[in-house]
Amino acid sequence: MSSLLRVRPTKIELIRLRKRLQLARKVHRILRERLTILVNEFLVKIREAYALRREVSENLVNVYSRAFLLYSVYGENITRYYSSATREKLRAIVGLENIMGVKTTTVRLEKPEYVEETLIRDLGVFREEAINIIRNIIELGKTEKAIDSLGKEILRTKRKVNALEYTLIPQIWNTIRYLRMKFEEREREEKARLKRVKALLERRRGR
Amino acid sequence: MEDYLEKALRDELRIINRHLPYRRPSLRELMSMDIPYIVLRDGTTHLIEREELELLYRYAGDEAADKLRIPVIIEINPGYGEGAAVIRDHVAAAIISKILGIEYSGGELIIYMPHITMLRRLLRTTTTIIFMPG
Repeated sequence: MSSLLRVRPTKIELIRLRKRLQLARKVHRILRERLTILVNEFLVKIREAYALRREVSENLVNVYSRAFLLYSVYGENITRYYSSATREKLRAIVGLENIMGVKTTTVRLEKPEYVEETLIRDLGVFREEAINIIRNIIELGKTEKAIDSLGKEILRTKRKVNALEYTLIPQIWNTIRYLRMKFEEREREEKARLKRVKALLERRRGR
Repeated sequence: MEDYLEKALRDELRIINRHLPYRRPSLRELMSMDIPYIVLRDGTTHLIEREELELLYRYAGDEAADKLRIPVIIEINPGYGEGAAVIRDHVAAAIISKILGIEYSGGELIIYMPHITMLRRLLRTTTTIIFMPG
């Protein structure tokens, strides 16, 4: 790409370019601030997702081993009854969350107000663990979705910041410099011409 | 082509703050909702975490619950230097300074990047960042 913009070498154009440079710098500064904050949010989410994934992986092993144990001791009907009760009583609210213009899906899990008491202690513990794991999996999904959306927005913003920093602002700046040089050259030519005309007139008067 | 460029730059400034809410309800108003949410300028609804509202209520107390407007606006202004932000709302500034454990002597509260990161981690849905062109 050319390092100069194609403009007419006029003073009006120079004023317009100066205004454009000011605007481009302003946008660049804001986008850079936005990028910094988006990257911060992204890193926080990455750490959150890492911790959640670890927790989910660890808890899944416990929940599954407990489920198999209960299944073998109490049989299919009772285990299924309590595990299905776990799912039915939970309420998930799905909505949007807006992180500085980045829309991500958010899910909130509402705890059931009344939880049926179990006569068997192990089943109660299993149900608690199952609720926790569902909550963690939902949190993990939410966080990973946010990471995905934030990542895309970071890429987009970075492209804009780079385009401004390495292409647009230097182009405008170079064009302004070129126009200034052109005007200075014109001025010098004008001065030289005037001197020449003056000398010519003086010579004529002297005759 | 240049006019398009200028238009694109101006549009960028215009859309950068479209995640601001139409109306900022009070903390008490949001706490009384079954599902707390706010409507943003781009037309979307933004769900608010109840735990964050409860945290704010703990710090604000019963009296300030009517005065505190949610979301708390953190203003990024190049005039304050790079990485600095300002909270102009007096009620919010007093509560945020308590949460962050920093000194507050009235007026606007100036915070820096580590504070912003901490604040966003604690109050993800109840704070929002706006960018001022300066």
